[in-house]
Amino acid sequence: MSSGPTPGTGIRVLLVDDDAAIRAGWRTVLDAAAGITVVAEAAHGQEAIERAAGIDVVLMDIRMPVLDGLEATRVLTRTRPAVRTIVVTTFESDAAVWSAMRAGAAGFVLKRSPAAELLEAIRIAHASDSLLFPAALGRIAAQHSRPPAIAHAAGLTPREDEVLRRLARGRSNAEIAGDLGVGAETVKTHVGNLLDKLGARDRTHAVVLAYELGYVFPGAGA
Amino acid sequence: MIFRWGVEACRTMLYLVLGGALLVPLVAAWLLLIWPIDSFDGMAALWLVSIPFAFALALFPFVRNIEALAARELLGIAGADTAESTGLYILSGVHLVIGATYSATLLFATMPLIYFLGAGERLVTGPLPLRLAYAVLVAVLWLAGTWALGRCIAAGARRLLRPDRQRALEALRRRDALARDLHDSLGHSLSVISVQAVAAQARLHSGGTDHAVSGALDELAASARAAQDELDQALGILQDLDASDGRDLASLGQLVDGLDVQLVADDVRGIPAQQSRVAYRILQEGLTNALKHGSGGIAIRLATGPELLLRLVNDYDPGSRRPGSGSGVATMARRAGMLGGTLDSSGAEGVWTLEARWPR
Repeated sequence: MSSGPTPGTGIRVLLVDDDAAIRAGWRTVLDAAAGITVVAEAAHGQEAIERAAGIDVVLMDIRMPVLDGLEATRVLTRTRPAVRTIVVTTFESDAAVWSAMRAGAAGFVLKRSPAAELLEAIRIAHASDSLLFPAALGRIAAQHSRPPAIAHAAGLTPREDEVLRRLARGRSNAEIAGDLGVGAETVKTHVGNLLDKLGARDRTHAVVLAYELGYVFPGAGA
Repeated sequence: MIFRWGVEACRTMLYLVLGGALLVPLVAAWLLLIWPIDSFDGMAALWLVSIPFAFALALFPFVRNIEALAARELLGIAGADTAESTGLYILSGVHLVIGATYSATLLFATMPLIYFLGAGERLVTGPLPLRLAYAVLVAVLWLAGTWALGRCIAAGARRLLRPDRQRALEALRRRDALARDLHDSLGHSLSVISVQAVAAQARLHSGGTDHAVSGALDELAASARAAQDELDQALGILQDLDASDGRDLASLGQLVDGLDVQLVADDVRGIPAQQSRVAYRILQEGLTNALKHGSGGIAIRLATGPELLLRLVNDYDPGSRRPGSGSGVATMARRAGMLGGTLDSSGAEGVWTLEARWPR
């Protein structure tokens, strides 16, 4: 079973929700969009794990029977690093959303989001070169992260620190290169180094950890 | 302002006389059997005896119920019904003693006034206006004293009738749980509606047939109706918790009147108002279900103990739709759940049993 998009099918999506009406609605929306194909559905986390092979992006509900979305996200992050999980929530204030972000979700969307936002989320998560809805991430970090008073020393250089702050604001590598007046390759190196130092899987995870460790404070320019 | 004080004083007077009235049987027995009260010693002895008698009388729940009502209506103390029972007991005893003392004083104090206004010997002589002025002065002073006494009693009663902290917390917890429940369930329903709306839009934009778009809108409308039902249910439960005029178990007899119902119920008077209303609503709904789907007689058992138990049993035709398989049972279970209890319904061999219980 190969991973990654195959030509003609676009981004391969797995829909996970215990409510069939939600899955049917999403399927209609995604089927109408170019470059996105729903290839499987699951009614709970266990089914999601079983059906994740060859999937690019998972739309994951949180509260489900058998295995909830939080635990399923944890498992998928560990066993299928290529799969990007977007947590779908009814309420932005849900504490489980932040837990899912810490567990490795690429981002989250609200169930009430308009179609354009849902499609944008899937495309950004799949491309994984910028942060999904940085302002919203900052808001839930403000509600749920417990940063220490002083940032943990992860040994970031001043430059890497600057890059991390810009990542948290949702800037892309090219934009950061423009901000700092350096080449895009240099930024890429900095991002690689700070991911290593923080022990982060990707830039979303780096930003989540930056909030958790107190490098970035929610609301500070996000 | 003066009018308000006057009304307040009159209410206090009524409150105190009521306390005295409850001790009238004691006074009557005393006069008949034991001691005349035409001496100071006799009066003092009666007064002393009235104290233990008052506190013994206050042990009866009906006396405390009257006391709670009187405190609320005549002293204007809200929350007398939810007060801690010790506080209400002390207030009742004190009220009876002070009320009896006040009533006796009122009787004796008015005697001079009667003599004064009547044809007998006069305490104050002089022209009528002067005598009238004296009468008004005495009355005003008496009312002022009553008003001040009422103020003192009300202040003390407020301290004694502090709302039961545990009960208040429990009520808050229930309201909180209901709010969370409503937030979650309605939030979910609205999410479904919004996803379906977005899906209908997508159908329209991608050139879907009228039939497909209309199908999507039908689903959306059905979800909206379901959400509306859910909201109605939740608000109904909220009303049960709050309503002061809702029917409760006291009206159970009326509910089953004329129906083929065998009702076996314990004394329902001690059941807190909120629980009583919820129990009534559950039985009402269960009975409606049983009448709609069942056949033959219905047996209802209402047992009070450390927990309240409601059981409704009736026959149904096993071939037909099982009674209580709809949303009605879910609502009933939610009501029982609000009180920290459970509700089960089961049908077996043509007998349907609905059983709800919660701690009292």
